[in-house]
Amino acid sequence: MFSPETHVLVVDDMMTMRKLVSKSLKEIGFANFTEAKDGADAFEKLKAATPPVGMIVSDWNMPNSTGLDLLKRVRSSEQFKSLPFILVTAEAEKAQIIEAVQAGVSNYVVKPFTTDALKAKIEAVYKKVTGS
Amino acid sequence: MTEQIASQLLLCGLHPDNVALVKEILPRTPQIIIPDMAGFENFLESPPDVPIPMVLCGETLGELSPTEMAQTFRMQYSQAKIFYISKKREAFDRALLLKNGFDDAFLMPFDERIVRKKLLELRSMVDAGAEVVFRPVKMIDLKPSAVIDFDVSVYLPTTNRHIKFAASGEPLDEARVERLGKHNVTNMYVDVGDMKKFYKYSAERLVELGKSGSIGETERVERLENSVRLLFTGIFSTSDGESSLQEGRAMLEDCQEIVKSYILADSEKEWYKAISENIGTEGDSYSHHTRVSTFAGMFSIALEKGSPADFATAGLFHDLGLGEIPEELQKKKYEEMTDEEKELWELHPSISVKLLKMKKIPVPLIVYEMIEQHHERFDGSGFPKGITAPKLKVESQILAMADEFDYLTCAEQLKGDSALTPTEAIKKMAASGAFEIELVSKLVKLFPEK
Ligand SMILES: [Fe+2]
Ligand SMILES: [Fe+2]
Repeated sequence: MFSPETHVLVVDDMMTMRKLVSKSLKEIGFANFTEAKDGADAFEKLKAATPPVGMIVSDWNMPNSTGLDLLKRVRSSEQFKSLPFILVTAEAEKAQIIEAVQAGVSNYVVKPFTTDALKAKIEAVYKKVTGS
Repeated sequence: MTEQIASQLLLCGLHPDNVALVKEILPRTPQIIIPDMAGFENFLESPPDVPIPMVLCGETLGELSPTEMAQTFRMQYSQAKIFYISKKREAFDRALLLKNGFDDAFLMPFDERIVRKKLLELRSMVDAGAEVVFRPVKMIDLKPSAVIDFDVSVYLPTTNRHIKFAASGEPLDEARVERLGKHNVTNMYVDVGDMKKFYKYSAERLVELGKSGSIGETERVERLENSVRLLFTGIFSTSDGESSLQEGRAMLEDCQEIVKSYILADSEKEWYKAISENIGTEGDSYSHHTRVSTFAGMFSIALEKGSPADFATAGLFHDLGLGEIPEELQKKKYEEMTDEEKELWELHPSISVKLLKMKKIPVPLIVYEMIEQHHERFDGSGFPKGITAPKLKVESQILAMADEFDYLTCAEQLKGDSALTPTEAIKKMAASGAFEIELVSKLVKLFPEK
């Protein structure tokens, strides 16, 4: 299982969506969040974070640098390459999900989603990571 | 006993005039009103836990983009209808709003009638506690003993109720069908959830009527024509008070779906699926190209000429080349163009074909020909080549008639002139001599004299 102390980086260009995702994560049991408004902003915050980020939940479609860009950057860095990374996609992007899988996404959730759906996705990721 | 929690309406950032309209139509339905950003933030902190069947968003929360509203409410109330209602014409892009998650978007005051209708539908649903939301349709070729796989209702104005005309799975009884004819009832109602079945029913009837053999040829052709005529009446009817422009648009969309189901009933027409779905994502079902596509498909079905799939495809792409013609030219009427301008304008059919070939969309050759010739006329008065039959194909003429028909009946196409009724339009086309009389007179029969 994940630990409630895990520092989660929530990335979305929309303030309200960041709030909604954080709220869901709170209900799931997390308590430690940092918010970023696009891929570039997120990567800066990821490098500077204390305690280090333990999971990223990122929107796909954002101006400037997308969730997929962020994922690729994270995966190609030695330091963060195995960080749990969950992409939040819209129905329209579902067709491209294969690209995200190839880029090494840990899991994805399609908007609109319920807290339970997000929780199930996160649990699946931790099962894979810990092998339990 | 379980406690009933009343459904509530959520209004977010709606213009005060539109809030007033909602209150007028739904005086008894409780409403949660989010007037400003502070209200919105409160809402995010603790969203009310009541059933919300409908969310109406507007333009007054400047800091909050429509997309953001759509996504937020979709997360909270995944089952609700989420609409955007705005008075701000400059910022209104219906296709984009739909793409960003709204179920529909309305520009006031132009769309007031349809907004009223949507709210009334909600009222009947909330008041009656019923699950059914009715949608008016035209049921073609209703025959005694036919079995329909969805419920069909009629509306009784005296009691303001919908009553069931045919129950799903039960054969229609003769006396009822007769009574319909006697009272000239053509408006039927179907649960919105059953629309797919309705499209399938309509397409199947048309396919069936297109096959000779089971009934006498005269009767068959007559029933086929009556069916297409009824569908056109739905699109254009404005006189019976109950219909409106928006309802006509909805019926046009229905016809588009019916033509699509008709085409896809033929497994050899699978290629059409990819094409129509690709185009469908543009989200503008009222555009010239989708209307021409639908009309051409319906003409093809009614005249029993060619394959409706070819017509529907040619309709979608016939004016693709206009995108390459300067925009100022597109606003001009043909008669007002200079010779050089005309020359440029007359290139567009060939450009359409060229672009279509470049897109590598595999379509039958006849589609290219139809597009190439869609401005040619039977009397040789067309362009670019001024050809006539036999070089000018029957198929091209039918596409040309659908194009001209849309041009004459649609105000936005007419560049300033006022639109004709469908009957007037067809008559004008018949009188012009530009179309083969045998073809155009068959079309005349599809549009009733009022
Ligand atoms: Fe054209
Ligand atoms: Fe056209």
